[in-house]
Amino acid sequence: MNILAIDTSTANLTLALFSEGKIIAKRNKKSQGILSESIIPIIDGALKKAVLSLSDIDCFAVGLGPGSFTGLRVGLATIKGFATALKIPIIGVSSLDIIASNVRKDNVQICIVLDARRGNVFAAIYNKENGVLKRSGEYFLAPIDELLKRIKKQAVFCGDGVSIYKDKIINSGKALLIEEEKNWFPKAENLIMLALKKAALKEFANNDTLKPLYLYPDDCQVQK
Amino acid sequence: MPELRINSKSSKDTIKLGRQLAKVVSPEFIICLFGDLGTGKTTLVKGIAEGLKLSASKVNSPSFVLMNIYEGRMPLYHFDLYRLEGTKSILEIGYDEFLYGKGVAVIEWAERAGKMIPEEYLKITLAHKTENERVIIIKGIGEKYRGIPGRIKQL
Ligand SMILES: Nc1ncnc2c1ncn2[C@@H]1O[C@H](COP(=O)(O)OP(=O)(O)OP(=O)(O)O)[C@@H](O)[C@H]1O
Ligand SMILES: [Mg+2]
Repeated sequence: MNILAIDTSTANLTLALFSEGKIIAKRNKKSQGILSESIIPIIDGALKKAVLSLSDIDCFAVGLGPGSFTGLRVGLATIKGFATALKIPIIGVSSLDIIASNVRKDNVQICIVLDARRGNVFAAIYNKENGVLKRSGEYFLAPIDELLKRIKKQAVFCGDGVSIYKDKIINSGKALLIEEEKNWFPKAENLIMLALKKAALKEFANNDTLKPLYLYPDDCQVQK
Repeated sequence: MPELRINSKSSKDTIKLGRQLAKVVSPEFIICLFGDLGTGKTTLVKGIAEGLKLSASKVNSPSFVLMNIYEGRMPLYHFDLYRLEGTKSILEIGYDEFLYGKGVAVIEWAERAGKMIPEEYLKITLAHKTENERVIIIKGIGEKYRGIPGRIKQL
């Protein structure tokens, strides 16, 4: 099976190609300029390097966020366009799950925190047991203090929210470990691994209705 | 908190102030404009656009869209939240990516942003005095903007 995996939820576009049981190409590009103009050349370049063409792809895997609204929209629209034209399935994975799978430590609780601005974070909590990652509860958008209150047992913290709220996280006593910075962002090679598991379970998305995981602050009513 | 108080005697004065503001901005700089209808918010944005060597004639108000982008040496993201209903619509056009992006963001009707107001920004409040006079107050909100009113004063 040949898989093309891409995540555009952060300022770093990450892409990987999987063919005949291994990763054969990787791209990690900090976004410069307009993603809608650069995404296709990046996909093209990776395919050429791997000596594959789009028609060789059997399945797409895409990071669904939460994260950059425009990044997610452009990424998903591009993949949907290809998938529809080629009549192949898409596997959608939350970008928080992709980041969680960067954490190497086993038999721990993991908390992914991404900066959502104005004191809020996008977050999810996972339990990892014998190498198996399981999310406990929903993906959510909340003030950092509320997230820290929700955590009952010391966890590994990972994600770009760590850089802003490091002091709060450490002072809360909820941190077992702070993951190193190179693991704060989604990596497409890990998206491939998650997609392979989903493919084995036939968890394909409905290409027509697949949407990014947008989270909105529920308490932000507009003042008139 | 040091703030700068300016008496603008004509729209020309307001444009001139905008051109001066353009000298202190940099990418990821956010200006929030507060003030009633017709106090000169868009006029000030025209001045900023001129100062950034963008075409000021393209700057207009009120807009039927929530945001315009003027490209130039540094992009200017011009939001007008007068018609904003609910915060979903600004988030979906990429509000945060423009605020913390490659250019300067100016938000008219920032009072309508509610909790979507940035944590740090340059606050400019415009008020009517007489038909052609306006009182304009500039204040820095947050560490990054604290020294800005002083810098504008020295220009
Ligand atoms: N000192 C002044 N500074 C700015 N504008 C002035 C001044 N005196 C008169 N005016 C006039 O007031 C009007 C200001 O209009 P402008 O569109 O800039 O206001 P605004 O605050 O953007 O309004 P809105 O809330 O409708 O967007 C213009 O017609 C301008 O010529
Ligand atoms: Mg206006």
